[in-house]
Amino acid sequence: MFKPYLNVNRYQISLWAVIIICALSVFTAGVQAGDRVNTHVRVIHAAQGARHIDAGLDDLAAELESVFRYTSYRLIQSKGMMLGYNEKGRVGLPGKRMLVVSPTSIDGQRIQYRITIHKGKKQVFQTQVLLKNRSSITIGGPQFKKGYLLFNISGRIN
Amino acid sequence: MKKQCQAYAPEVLSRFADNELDDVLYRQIQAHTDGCNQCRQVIDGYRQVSQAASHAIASKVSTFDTGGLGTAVIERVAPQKSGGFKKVFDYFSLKLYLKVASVAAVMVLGLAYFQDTPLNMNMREFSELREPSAIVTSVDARSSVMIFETEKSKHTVIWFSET
Amino acid sequence: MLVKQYQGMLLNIAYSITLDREESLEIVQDVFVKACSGIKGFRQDASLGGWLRKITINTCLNWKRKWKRRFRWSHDPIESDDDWILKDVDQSGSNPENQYREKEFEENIMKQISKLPEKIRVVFVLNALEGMSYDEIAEHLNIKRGTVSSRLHHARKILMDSFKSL
Ligand SMILES: [Zn+2]
Repeated sequence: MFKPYLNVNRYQISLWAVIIICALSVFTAGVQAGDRVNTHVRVIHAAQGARHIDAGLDDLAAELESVFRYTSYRLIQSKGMMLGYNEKGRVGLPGKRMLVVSPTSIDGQRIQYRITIHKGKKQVFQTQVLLKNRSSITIGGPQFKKGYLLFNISGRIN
Repeated sequence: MKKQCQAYAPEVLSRFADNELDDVLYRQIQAHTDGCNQCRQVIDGYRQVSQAASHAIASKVSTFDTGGLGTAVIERVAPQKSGGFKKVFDYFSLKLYLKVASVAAVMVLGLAYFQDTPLNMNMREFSELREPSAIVTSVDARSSVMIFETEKSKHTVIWFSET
Repeated sequence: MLVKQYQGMLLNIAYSITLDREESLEIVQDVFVKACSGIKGFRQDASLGGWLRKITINTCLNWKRKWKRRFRWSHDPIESDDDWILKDVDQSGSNPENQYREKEFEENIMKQISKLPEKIRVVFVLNALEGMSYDEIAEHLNIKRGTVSSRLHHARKILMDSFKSL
């Protein structure tokens, strides 16, 4: 299957191989074949005005209210996905935006995610995070209808 | 079966599904789909078929045995001048540095809180509780970005400005 | 590690174009070798992932054994190693029946994807897997943006029709 070049010093090869195997064992944090990461994205519209919290946001609203001034939290979309490693899950968002989330590896008890947000054809935001298993992160910022869009992304592996 | 709505060509709807239309047409179709189930279903279908394909491919590829890939690459690269190779390592060590730095930051935070630890809570429980829900290892936006966490459950929040 | 970080993404692309496990592993190996020797000249401002992706696509499209690939796929529509289905179903038996159905569904999609003409399939998978914009795909494949749009729609139509008839 693989085709190592044979026209080289064997010692050199084995030296490099040893170095690399050590490096690999440090860096590769057991991504197992066939694993799926249960990924859930909630798209929330946060605004000021009459106090309102949608059902399904109870867990999060208390947290968000402790840091934001917004009083109204509406769930505008909720999408669960089983994503394989490096598989990209897409969530269409209001205003020609698109959220792309992809688990890239496991690092101890944390899931590494790459998250990007696109507006039209441009990528407006990207991040890489180590998310605690069965936990979530909230990303916010885009303005929408006199308020802001928040994305709550949670991840779970068994 | 009802006749398919003819308001927009299927290819245009496919472009809509990919955000590949100019703003005017995009808004027209968006308004249209508010009232037209058929077109909305076509667009959803286009998105779903792409997602399903991507899912199936990733699933299939995840069954491949990639164990030998790294070493095979090394064996082929190592004999060459080591210049190119060193650069690869620089790149990794930077990443490692970032990771170590964020872990260290968490530990420092943990230690700072440790002084008020209730006696009946063991250290592991405690540090788990105090760890942020997400460690941000890299972030990139067009202008400003703020990262913070909530007081109570250390829920990580990233706030960015789009313009 | 460079290889570990990008192998998943590159294998997805390579496999979806070549539809062959061995070939895609060889291609990705080749890409990393090319990358390691070329990395010195790599521009810091461009994304490493994007650059690797580009080399992978080019390598796949120029891969020599195309005839073999076509031959195999026209005669044997899906790989015969069906043990992987069972292997995966055995894992973490939360709901074996559902998992089996899911695998079956995925295999079906792969079968339909493999029936797409290569030109159309390449456009479709770059969009579906990588979310590449029409302009990016057009640039990578050296075709017009309008061609990207029509091939993509064509692929979706064929796939959706095949599911309707299931
Ligand atoms: Zn319509």
